[in-house]
Amino acid sequence: MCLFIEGASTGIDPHSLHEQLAGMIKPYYIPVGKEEAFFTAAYKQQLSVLLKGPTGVGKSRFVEHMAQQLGRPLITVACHEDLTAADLVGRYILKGNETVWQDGPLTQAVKQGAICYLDEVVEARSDTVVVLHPLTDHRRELNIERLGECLKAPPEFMVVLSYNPGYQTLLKDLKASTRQRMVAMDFDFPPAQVEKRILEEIYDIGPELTDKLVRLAAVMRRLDAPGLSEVASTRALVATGKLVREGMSPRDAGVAAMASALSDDPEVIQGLTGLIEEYLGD
Amino acid sequence: MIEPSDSPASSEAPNWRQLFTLREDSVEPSSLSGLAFLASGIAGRQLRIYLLAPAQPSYTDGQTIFLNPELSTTQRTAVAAAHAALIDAGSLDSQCIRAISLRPAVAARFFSMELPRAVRGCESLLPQALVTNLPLPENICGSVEESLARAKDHRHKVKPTESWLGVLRPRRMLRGAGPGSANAVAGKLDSFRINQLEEHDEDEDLDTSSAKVMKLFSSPLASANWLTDMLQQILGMGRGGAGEEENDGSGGAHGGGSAHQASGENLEITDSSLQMNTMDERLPLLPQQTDWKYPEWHAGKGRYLPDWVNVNEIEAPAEPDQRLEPCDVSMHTLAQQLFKVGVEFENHRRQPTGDDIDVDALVEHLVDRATGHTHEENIYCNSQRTRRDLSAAMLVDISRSTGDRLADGKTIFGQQVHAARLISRALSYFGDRVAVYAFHSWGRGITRLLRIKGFDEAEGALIDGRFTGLQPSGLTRLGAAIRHASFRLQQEKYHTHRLLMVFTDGFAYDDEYEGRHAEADVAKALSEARERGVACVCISIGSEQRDDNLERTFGTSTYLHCQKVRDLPARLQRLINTALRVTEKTR
Repeated sequence: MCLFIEGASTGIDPHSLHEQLAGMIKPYYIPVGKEEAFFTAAYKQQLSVLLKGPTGVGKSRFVEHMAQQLGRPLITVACHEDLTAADLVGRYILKGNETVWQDGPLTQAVKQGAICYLDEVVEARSDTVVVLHPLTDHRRELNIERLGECLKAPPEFMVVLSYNPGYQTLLKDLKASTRQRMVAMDFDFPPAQVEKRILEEIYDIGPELTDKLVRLAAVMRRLDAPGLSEVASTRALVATGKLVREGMSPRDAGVAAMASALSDDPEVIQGLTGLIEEYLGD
Repeated sequence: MIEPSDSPASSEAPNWRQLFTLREDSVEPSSLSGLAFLASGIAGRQLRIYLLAPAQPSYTDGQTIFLNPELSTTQRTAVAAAHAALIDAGSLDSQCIRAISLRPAVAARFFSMELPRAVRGCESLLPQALVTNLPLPENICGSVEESLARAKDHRHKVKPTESWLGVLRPRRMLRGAGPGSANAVAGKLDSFRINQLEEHDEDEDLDTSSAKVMKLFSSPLASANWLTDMLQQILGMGRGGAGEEENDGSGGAHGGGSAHQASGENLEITDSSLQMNTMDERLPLLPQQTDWKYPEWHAGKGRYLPDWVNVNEIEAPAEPDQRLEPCDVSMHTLAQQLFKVGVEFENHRRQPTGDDIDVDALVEHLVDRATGHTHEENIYCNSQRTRRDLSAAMLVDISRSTGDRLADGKTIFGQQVHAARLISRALSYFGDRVAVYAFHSWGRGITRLLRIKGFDEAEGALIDGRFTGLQPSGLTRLGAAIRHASFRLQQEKYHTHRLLMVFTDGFAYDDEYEGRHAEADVAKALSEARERGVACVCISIGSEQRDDNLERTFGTSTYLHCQKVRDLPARLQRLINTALRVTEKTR
């Protein structure tokens, strides 16, 4: 399991750590619509939020941004198909001659009143996601069967789920009972103007290259090539820009970040390379 | 369609795509694939780029953009982008095109009106340099309708486009969008007729009739071949075509030369006591009892036709000295994908990590440690998806049409058989129960399933020999084949997941079995199978386009079309898991 717990694993009180961090690292985020107001409203009303959208459009970045805005610690769990309920809630482990209970990320989040962010939640087994149910309705409590305990969540605690609906429809889907506990926000690639600002203001990529990249991305996102399940995300554009800043030619950087990275099919790569050359070639 | 072994001439017979390519005097160089991606991105749908013969103006038929080869690289990009923009802007929708198809002058004016509008509409998508360098006439128009009205009104002045930007060829456009893939045979026949009928109109359109006439004289052979091939293809596809009898003997014991007579009522075969509805309770079959009768769904009457189709299962003859047609994928690549298919959770004890503590292991561990031994702390229980739980049957279409040559000289038949061979080997390797059947039919009298590998047979040289002994012949009565394979799968009680994989080229076609009737029957056979817990997927390899009928009957998520076997592994896992999941839900 890949687990990022800000502050929690270091033994420092996450609240104070968070306050220290708040002044130093600010996750840049440029709002596209009313998403900030929406998220704040859900937080105040103790509702759980479901973020939907393709990979690399800024879902995780948005959650980081909002956690910072609301002044709450953020606990992120990257979900995968072997994630069990014990991985979220906690388990007994052996320490020396005795067994000790170790809290899982969800239990920690409840105890700290943190925002618990389950990234790519459809990847998790459906029986795992069910532990969220009592936490995300009026009860707002976490049952820990192995301890025989029931934790009451503080008002600051919030559950945020994200997934990419384009990936899979039938094979992996959220249970209807999980869905109806959520309020959902749809994310899509930012409009060209916002994407330009992201590249120019945050990542300091020149306006000329930015313009080319944004046009290229617009065309790539309309492509319906077989063997190409993902398209050039904002993240891929940023990666291209960063490589160019290190002295790579725009064409090579584009191929590395947006052609080879997206597909293994030689024909698709060749086509994408040709397309990239039309926009970023000399 | 055409048998590869018919005659030396037909072994070089181009497939349909090549035929039309030849007609267009065009090629699709791989160096243009970037341009094809650009055009597809702008148009928002898949487009191809072909090069024309010299001196022909560029145009598009809505699916392919044909470029004049004399254009410079920048011009090519510009023309491809401009024509793709026209498609995106809806300028080439069939209504507009019909309105101008008989009036070349109006078409030219419409092109000059629409081009600037279309390019402006998708300006944000195009490379900046291209937008600034594209010489667009300053015809300002807000909508297609407005352009159309102005194009028709000859009093209105329209600035012409530069000639290298190409032309609009409404009739090609109508033809390109027309037949589609839904009914490929009919489509091809239609285009054939249109070609013949419209030749004059179009030549006048473009005022290049003399050039075309010259071309006909310069390559009389090519043109003659083209016609002969066309006729052969049509005849080969027909019911009981002329070539049918010559090759039948190779298939196996039954059928043979008289096969297509079986389509009538003169063949009522054996054992009428076997009824579909009592099938489930039947005792194990004796070896000689190899014929079954299955009903067929009649959509028009809304009921089954009882005991309608005779299904005959025989062991496939082995030809151990032959080799399979080569394909570009290894068993290992497929096995990597199939490893995660049809697996269920099982509890593993003595694991280094896990949800619960394994008490026995913990006690042992503590005792070991107390007595001074050191062991790893494998004291947890862990449930993992590792238990193989799959019975799979493969049904390979070996009807005559699968013998078609693909662009690279391989056959759909060969590729299908090879893919089935690899999948069968991979699944057997994991210990799954696998059966492989090939099927073809001659009317409702005989639908024959050749058993290449039964569930109880082990992999080995004998199975290899049966794979190589197959020959394409006959037609495709898919519904009956699915019912029988599904019946065989239902007899498998070992596993909870049961999977039926159908490999076919898309022509569900037999005597009195075509079109909507065939489609409805196949759909019915599939829903019967799914209700009984058999997950069904369909895989088409090699054909140019997805088959709309198959996609409709099998369902978008359980139909897979790939041009090469190479594309199969990446998509196989999701396909099968989806099918298994759907079936679970149905049950």
